[in-house]
Amino acid sequence: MPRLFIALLLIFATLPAHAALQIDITQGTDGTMPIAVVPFGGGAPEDIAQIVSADLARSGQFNTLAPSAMPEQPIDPQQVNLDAWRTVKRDYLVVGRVVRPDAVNFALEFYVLDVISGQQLTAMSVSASRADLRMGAHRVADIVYEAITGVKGAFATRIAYITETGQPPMRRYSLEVADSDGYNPQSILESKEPIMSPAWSRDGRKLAYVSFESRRSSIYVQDVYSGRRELVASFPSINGSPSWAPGGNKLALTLSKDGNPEIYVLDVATRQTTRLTNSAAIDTEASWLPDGSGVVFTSDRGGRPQTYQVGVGGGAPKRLTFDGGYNARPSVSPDGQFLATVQSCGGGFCIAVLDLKTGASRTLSKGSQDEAPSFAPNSAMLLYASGGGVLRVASVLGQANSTLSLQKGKVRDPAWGPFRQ
Amino acid sequence: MKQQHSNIGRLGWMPKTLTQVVAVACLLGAATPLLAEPLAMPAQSVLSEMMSRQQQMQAELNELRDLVERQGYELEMLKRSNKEAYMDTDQRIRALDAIVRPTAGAGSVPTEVTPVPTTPAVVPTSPPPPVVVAPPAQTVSADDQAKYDQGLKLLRAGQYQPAIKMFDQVIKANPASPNRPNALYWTGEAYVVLGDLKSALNAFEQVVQGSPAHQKAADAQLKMGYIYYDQKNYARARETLNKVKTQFPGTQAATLADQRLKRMQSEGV
Repeated sequence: MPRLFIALLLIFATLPAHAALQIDITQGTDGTMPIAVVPFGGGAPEDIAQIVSADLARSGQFNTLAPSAMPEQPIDPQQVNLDAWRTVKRDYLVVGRVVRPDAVNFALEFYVLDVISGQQLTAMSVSASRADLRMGAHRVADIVYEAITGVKGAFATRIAYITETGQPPMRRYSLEVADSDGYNPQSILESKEPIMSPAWSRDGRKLAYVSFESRRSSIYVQDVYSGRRELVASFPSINGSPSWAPGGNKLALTLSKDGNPEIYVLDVATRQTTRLTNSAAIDTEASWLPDGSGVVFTSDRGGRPQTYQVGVGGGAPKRLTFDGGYNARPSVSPDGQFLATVQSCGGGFCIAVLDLKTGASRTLSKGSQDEAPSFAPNSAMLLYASGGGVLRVASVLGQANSTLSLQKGKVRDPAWGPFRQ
Repeated sequence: MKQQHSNIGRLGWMPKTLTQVVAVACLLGAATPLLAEPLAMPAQSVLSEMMSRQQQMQAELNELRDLVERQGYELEMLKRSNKEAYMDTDQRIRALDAIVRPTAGAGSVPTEVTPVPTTPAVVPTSPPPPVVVAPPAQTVSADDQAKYDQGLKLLRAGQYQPAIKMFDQVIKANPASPNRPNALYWTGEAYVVLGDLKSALNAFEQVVQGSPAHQKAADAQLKMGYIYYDQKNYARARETLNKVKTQFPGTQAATLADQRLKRMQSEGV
């Protein structure tokens, strides 16, 4: 895999041994905000500044500075020499330190400074236990991100995905949950048969997914914390592509119990299904609109797969995609502004984003075998699986495109979880 | 044959899909020695022909759906770009006008490009916007202009009440403001849309009385004629429209007034 290390090279030279992932950031830094996150004082088992810095860089909206290029390393706003930071062309500066209020906990105290005006934008303290320390650092990144962009950060969130390891007959599938930067992966389900299409509930407690453990497709809902799982759909023939409704205990899914793959809504409590589509073509891959008024889905009713929208009351679906001969696996951003699809491009498939307000469309990835786009809860980033089975994160607003490359197996079907409550 | 059909009907099992039809046909062929000709063979070939025809039709239907969807989309895009092109042209004309106008003499008003609404029931989202008039003797204050522009923006966005409020500020701030007649005129238009014809008449009246030589006076008078017509006050409508014709000959307003008078004649009112 080609790698283009930028400033992060140095940082990753000091990665702790347990790290399962590497992150590369490629592409330009045009239009990004220059920031420096100074190494935190006080000492902690994790490099807090490095985690914050990597988060901000991955958003594509910031360009960060390696500690070696910093003119000074203050840990307090009083120690900062603003002119020195102006010289290295930084607009924003984060300084802070780790304090130990007791033997168990850590407190991350930090300040965000506007270098140009000399003003302090924010001063906060985030507390975390040892096990939570990385998540604490992601919270710091969220606060820095919001203080500067005005948009809520989505770094202190989790992602789910499927890994595939080994060759038949030893092939194993695993449903994993990790931090948004790919660290702390934990397997919550392992199987010899394929697992597919994990989908987060809106409270982030449950995952719905497709499992072939009974040799045919079934849909399960599993509590991420307790591990308790429940079979919710096992109709004859296809049971696929679950998507949680924004409000209530409902799943949109693909069923072919009535003969042809169609979109249904399943009430998880009562097990009642309501059919949303009715066409001789294949209708599948439903994903809810953020306001819950309907779903977007893939249909080949026009000859080739394109994205359509239909209301919860059914009715005539409206076609949304016209660029490219193929637009599948649709997903609408939580703010309702963007539609991400897997689009045919240059003989392969890449991730395209359509601005639903202006109709402008652009591709966020180069391909050639990209799949399963999933928006961050703040709509600013997009997670997807790329050709060789690696996870990538693209900036919806900026240009950055990073790899969260696991060291083992192929990674598929990523799903970005909601904001943590 | 009749017997067979009614039997199947009684069994409550009607063929639903093509496969079932084939099955029924086979069943019929096998279980009916009474039939003079064997049914299964020709029926099967006919059915397979029908199936392939059906598949063909489905494929064609898909193609046609694709075409209809694309054309609908292109039409929508065309409408949008049309509107954008219009707004662009409109802005250019306004910009040009702002350059031309200060050098023009006071007497040249009738020869100016006068945007007269072309349809009687004018909705302020679509008509050409008013030209900003800046006679050489008067200057428009920046604040005045900003408020007037804001009013127009609100009007275009369909926010009629806020637009009226904004124009009102222009009207009240400076009785000598060159934007005043325009602000009054658009206030009138906004009231027409809101259905407050009395306030609309009042605003138009102020344009006609306060600035009889202003290019908007003809339009205002025309609109008053229209309102009287809508109120079925045909005598006043006729009188007002005739005034437009005699006082502003050669203008588009006069042409429109003439058209409406002819229509009234044909309607016998």
